[in-house]
Amino acid sequence: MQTTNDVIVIGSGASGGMAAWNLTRQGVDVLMLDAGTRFARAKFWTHVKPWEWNARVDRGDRPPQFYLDTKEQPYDTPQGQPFDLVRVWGRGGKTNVWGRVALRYSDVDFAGPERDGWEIPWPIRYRDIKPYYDKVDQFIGVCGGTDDQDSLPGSPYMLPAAPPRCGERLLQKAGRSVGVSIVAGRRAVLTKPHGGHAACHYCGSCGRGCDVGAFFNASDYLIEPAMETGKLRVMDNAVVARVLVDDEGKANGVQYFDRVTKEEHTLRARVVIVAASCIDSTRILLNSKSTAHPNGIGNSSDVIGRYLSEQIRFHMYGFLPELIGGPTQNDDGIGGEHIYMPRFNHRGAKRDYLRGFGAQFWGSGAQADAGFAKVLPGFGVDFKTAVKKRYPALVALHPYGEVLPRAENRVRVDDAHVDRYGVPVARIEYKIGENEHKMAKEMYDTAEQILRAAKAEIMPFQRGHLDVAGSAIHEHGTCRMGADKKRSALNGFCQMHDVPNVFVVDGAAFTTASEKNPTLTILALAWRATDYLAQEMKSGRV
Amino acid sequence: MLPAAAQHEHPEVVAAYTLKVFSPDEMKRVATLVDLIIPRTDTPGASDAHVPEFIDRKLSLNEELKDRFLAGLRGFDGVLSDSNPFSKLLKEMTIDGYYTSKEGLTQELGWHGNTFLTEFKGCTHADHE
Ligand SMILES: Cc1cc2nc3c(=O)[nH]c(=O)nc-3n(C[C@H](O)[C@H](O)[C@H](O)COP(=O)(O)OP(=O)(O)OC[C@H]3O[C@@H](n4cnc5c(N)ncnc54)[C@H](O)[C@@H]3O)c2cc1C
Ligand code: SF4
Repeated sequence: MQTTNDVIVIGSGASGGMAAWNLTRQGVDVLMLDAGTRFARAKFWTHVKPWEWNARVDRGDRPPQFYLDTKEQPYDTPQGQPFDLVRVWGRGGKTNVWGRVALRYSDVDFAGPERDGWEIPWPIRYRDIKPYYDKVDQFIGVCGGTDDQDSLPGSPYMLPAAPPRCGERLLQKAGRSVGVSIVAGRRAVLTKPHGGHAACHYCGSCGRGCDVGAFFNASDYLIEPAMETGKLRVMDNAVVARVLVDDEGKANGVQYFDRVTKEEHTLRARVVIVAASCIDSTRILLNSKSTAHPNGIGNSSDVIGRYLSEQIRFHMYGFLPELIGGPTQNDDGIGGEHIYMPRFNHRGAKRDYLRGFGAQFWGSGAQADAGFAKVLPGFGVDFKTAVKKRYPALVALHPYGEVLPRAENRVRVDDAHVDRYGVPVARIEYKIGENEHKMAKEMYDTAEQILRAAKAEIMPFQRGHLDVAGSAIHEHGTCRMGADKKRSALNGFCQMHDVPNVFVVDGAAFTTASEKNPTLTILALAWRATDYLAQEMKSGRV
Repeated sequence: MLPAAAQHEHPEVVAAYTLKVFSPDEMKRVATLVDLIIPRTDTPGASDAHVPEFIDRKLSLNEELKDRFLAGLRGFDGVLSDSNPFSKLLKEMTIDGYYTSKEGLTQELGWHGNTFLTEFKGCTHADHE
């Protein structure tokens, strides 16, 4: 007879890591299935200089391969409707390389649908999640941002902010002069040693993985301590295909394929927590078809797969006059931006579109390349001089805008296209609409206004251009929470309405995307969901 | 041959580059062109920074790019211009190669990042406030 696990967690990223950590510390036995293996920190290329790369590669050395190759795991998109899906399969998931922007949602976000009537309301409010944001901030270590505004709550638990670089400070000043507030960034980077993890040494190479673990990643911060309790077992290279159910339609286990041997296996569990990241979780749910759940587990509402919401984004660059021709400084800092522009368009005149946008500023200051030079005209000594003069003066604006949830923006699974294990792949059908184009107009106006106020030399840009869908790497909404069981798949604790022993704790659970980066909220929601689950298990209801 | 320990201390010490794509003539031609884009001044120029090797290596990894580049090079009249597609491609690859080389990044641009610091002060200029 197969042993039955208390809880199976699918995925080891932000959401799965949090679920496993919070359950094991409350005494629950957890088996985690992860599609990859642990990335060896000692082999990260954090301190490999740009000019050393090629020689290393020629010697047969390789940087860690974080990103999943679509040749191994394809997905479909309709002709002419691209979606760039970025996946990291392995311990810690995308948190190994994430941008660490850690923003709280506010009631401007949670109450958004109620205010404008677009789609269903969130079943929770800021007051429900605030205690969990507080706990997450304290646990993972977030720096900057004790200041508070209606669209971006502050936190009393912040580590010291990373001070702004020259260009960022000048942008803050320019913002002030046109009434746009640009505040200290909130970043999950340790500006002081914290929770047994080393402090940041300001090398700026976080995108290659941090060699000392000075920013939150689920592997070191959640899964390692959970393993120390003796309550967590992790199975590597276990690619989950389906959640299995009993005759009554209750989950009783999972089916997975060994990524190395390709063998199929099943495991039994009392509770299944789906945390494979929005699109992969959705694929698993939709592939979990049974007599009780003919169109995917927990999908009597037919909302699973629908309402995929990513964010629109573009980039605008400029050179600030105060810095042109000045000395080159070491602008690495904590890698990425030290400032953030919170949403402001809910104030003042009513807009001709719904929802809002914020802006990030990564890539401001001296970088380890000079890609901007490609748009400077000319050749020879004049060109060389023009590049050098501008190099210390670069600033970058990256506005992010919410995409409305729409039923037709959806993930499907298609029996005709299967992966190497014979499991249907995801097909992503996603388009933005008029609302987003109208918002993009104000996003462009705002970015340009800030740069003009800074008297910047603005790099040529194409007004209205947006990055290809998926580029923000903030997928949400395909298994959304809500109070109305006919229009949502989960309750406010990420528990399936139809199948109470299945929880979905990643971005799929979000009712709306907002303009903000999701991970801090994913962590808080997963913590809250698993507190509830632990209680329900103790009382015997689950 | 350096002892292993010395090699480790000098990771930039590499064997002489063996051409993967260019003929020696093409290599010379490319070197002349990239030095017209980024010439030697009081700091190194593009070929001082091994940009031709950088381009040769890049082309060896991408068949489509290689064909496009070599066809462009053969037909090129030698006059650099921002509106000529080959000239533009060459300029972009020169920028990628030069400004990620040790010479271009550190000597020309003065980049001194990716280090270990105990503190990050940020902007300290009162007039930037
Ligand atoms: C370059 C980059 C920058 C980013 N910047 C930010 C930022 O600044 N702020 C922010 O909030 N967010 C950012 N994000 C997004 C952030 O990384 C994600 O929101 C977060 O990691 C999501 O957590 P997750 O648990 O849902 O998924 P992931 O962290 O992706 O983890 C998914 C896990 O599921 C596993 N898995 C997948 N499929 C299966 C399967 N079939 N069976 C078993 N296991 C499976 C994977 O191995 C992985 O461990 C960024 C992402 C990237 C890539
Ligand atoms: S900047 Fe800090 S957090 Fe980023 S890789 Fe370097 S030490 Fe790690």
